[in-house]
Amino acid sequence: MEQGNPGGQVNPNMIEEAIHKVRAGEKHAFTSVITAYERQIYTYCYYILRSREEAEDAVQDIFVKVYQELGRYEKRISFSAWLYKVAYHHCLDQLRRHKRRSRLMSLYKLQLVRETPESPVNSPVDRMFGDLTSEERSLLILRVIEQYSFEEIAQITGSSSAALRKKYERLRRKLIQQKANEGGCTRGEVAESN
Amino acid sequence: MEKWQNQTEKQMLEQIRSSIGKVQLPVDSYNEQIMNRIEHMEIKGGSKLIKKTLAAACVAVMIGLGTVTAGFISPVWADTLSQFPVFSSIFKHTDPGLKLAAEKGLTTSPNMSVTKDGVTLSVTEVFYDGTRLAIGFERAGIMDERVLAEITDFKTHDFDQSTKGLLGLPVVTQVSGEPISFGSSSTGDVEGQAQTLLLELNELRNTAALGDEFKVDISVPVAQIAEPFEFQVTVKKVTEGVINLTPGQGASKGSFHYTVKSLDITPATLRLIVTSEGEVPASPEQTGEYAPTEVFYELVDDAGNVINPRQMGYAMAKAVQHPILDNLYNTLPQIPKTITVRPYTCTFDSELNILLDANGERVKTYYKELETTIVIP
Repeated sequence: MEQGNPGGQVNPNMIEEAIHKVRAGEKHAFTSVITAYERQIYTYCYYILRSREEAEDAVQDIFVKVYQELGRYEKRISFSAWLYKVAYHHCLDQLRRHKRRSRLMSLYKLQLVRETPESPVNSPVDRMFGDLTSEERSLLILRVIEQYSFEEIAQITGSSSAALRKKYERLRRKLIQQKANEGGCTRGEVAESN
Repeated sequence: MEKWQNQTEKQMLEQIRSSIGKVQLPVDSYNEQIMNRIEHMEIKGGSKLIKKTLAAACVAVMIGLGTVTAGFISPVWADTLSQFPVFSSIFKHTDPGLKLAAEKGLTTSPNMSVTKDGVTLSVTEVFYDGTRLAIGFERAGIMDERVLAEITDFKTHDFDQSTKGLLGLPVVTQVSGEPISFGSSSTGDVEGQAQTLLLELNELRNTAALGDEFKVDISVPVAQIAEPFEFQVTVKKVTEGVINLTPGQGASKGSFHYTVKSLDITPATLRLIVTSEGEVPASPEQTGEYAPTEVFYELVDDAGNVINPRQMGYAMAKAVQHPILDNLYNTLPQIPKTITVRPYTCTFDSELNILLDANGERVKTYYKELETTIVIP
């Protein structure tokens, strides 16, 4: 895998400038931050929460939270990684709430799931994601799509980078196996990662 | 990075990238919704980010601060304009109460200026109704957009002295030197209006001793100017249209009980002092990882107008019980026949985030049995 540009095609200087302005009281500068990252964060939430409606709510909640917490952002971590950190924890919270709600209203939740036409279950990739845990889906997006290093993902998720490497290896094997089961690969030789 | 990948894995990862890369936002952008929520949140709850200062006599109780905004008026015109209340005043863009007070000509315009080392500071407008004292300042002679300096220590009032002309926190005392006793104060630049500053001393205490007219000394430290700027200003209390009640009414739920000790209605402000005891009530949903916040007191008049405290800050701890709560509210459109006190709690999650609904509003849990209606004579 080639080393990409973690956090996407966003000009980090432009973002730093916008953050500086927001901190100086120019609230409107926050719109540049939203515009730069909203699609990525929506996509991330969509695949973690597996609901368009919830992802729509989540992306708004996350940016409101980021605005509130902007004073606490330090450059020890890239802004995009920090944003993902907020998104990661928000989505986990949402999933935990789900579990709690599902205990209370299991029937209603079943109905909700059925009635969510946008649940990403259509394409082969969506089916692939359907067999992964939320942690695995998060790891896959952060690693494969956003191309963060394991150290950065460790900062985002609060796990150790060594544990993340192992999880990612397991995840790769799982995906290869899935692909093999679909008939796409007969000898799923899996590469090592460093 | 992986040393090598077999073809299948490469294809698979490409497929994932391509598929996920195609995901589009369901709308063009959430910019408007998010900024609206931020705007709303700051109006209702105070912004952590752009708050200017909060000096509170009881900091533990007062957490959070509404953004202070005000209009602007040249001190040269101040005297004239106070006679023509239709015109703008420094309180024009502040909360509806101060704005109304200015429009009704209930503010005074001392029009006093002090110049030192090229910096001129003026006290342009004063309002006092027994619940709060608001003072408007204007600065001239400094190009810097900032008026209030960053306050580095609220206890000592130390402030950033690196730029000449930035103001420290004004200190208001009685001419005897005794402090003006208050619950919380806010000081901040007037948003969108250059070179102005608004100081509010809220939930004033021992006001009977002050009388209806009294003088105060105002001392404003200014960066890189040795001596503070000092003013002596006469404060006149607005007495017309002021209703002071001591209802003593209350209600109970479980071990929780509250009493409305006083309710003051002025043309600009509504002040409610509540005492309470017992455990903050919790609904069935506010258990486990969820918990109630402290109790908030919403007021509803007989016309259905709902008002909440101007400071919607809250203690970052579950079910905090305040023995005494002293809240200022924005004024109601007209003097009501009745006011119903409607206590409610919000809900914390395990990380002490307040639960919000789809519109970004705090989810409120009301307790019907805790409502009490006060008749305004």
